[in-house]
Amino acid sequence: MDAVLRSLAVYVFIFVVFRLAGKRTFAELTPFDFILLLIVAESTQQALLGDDFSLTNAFIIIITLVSFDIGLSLLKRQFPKLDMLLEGLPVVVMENGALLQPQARKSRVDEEDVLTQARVQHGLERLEQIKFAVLERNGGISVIPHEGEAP
Amino acid sequence: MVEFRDYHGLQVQQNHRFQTWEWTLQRVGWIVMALAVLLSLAGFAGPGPVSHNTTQSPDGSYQITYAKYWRQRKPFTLEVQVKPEAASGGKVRLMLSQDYLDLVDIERITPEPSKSELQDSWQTYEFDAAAGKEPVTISFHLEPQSYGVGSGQVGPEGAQPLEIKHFIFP
Repeated sequence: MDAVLRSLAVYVFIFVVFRLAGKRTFAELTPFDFILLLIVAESTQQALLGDDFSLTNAFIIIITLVSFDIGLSLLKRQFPKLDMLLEGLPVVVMENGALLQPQARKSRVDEEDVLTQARVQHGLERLEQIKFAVLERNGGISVIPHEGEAP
Repeated sequence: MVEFRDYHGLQVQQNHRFQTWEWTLQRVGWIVMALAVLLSLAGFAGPGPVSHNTTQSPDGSYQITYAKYWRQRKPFTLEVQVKPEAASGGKVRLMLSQDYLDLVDIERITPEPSKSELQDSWQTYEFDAAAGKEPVTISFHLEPQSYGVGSGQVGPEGAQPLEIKHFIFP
């Protein structure tokens, strides 16, 4: 019982902390984000296992977490509001090359973030070529260029 | 409700009320996390300036220093300092209540006791103490086994024991 409860407690805690941290955290895995992910993983390992290093304990933890994940995904399909609560919604942060406020400020997205994605996704050079930029639920920014602008 | 809205030609799920609420909740969450970090630095969940407490007996014959705010399975030291006049016949006998021993595991005791007895739900340890002017310090290296609020009693034989109360985080 202990292994199940500990793994659920760790899962829920990490989920809440990351959800509160906002979509931009871990979105593009800068070196800082990568180090943060590594340290978080290491910190949770001992809390999950405790002093029980048996195979059974590890298997129980893995099955509990995967089952919880599957259960949550089924619930999210059944209850769209739960999906909204857990995953958030996309946010339109730019229109016609200009950042939309307060969306961009509250989402901590600036012009350089959008330009980076514009270059990576479409090879765009200037903000004026961008029709829309949307901060997606997974923290990534998708850029929609004006017709004829994408090379 | 969640629905696809037309934003100047872009079909996207939007809910302005939810979004505003989410941003507010995030900022509240950041403040709560910052407070948690500050409280941890202060020692309310482990080692820090406020984590330890020193309590003295009413007659002043001994005092106990221990970790008041601590964490499960993290070792700590409970120190009993007995004034020389309270050590009679070259011996110091310390008693720990059984409910306290149910709360913690004893890793080791410094100095090693010469004798230990269990009687009437009290564990008594006897230490050799040469007569001197300095107080005698006995350290119990303990590890909390459960979490929550727990307490017990510790004190020299013959003196009024002190209540030791721990707030142990899981």
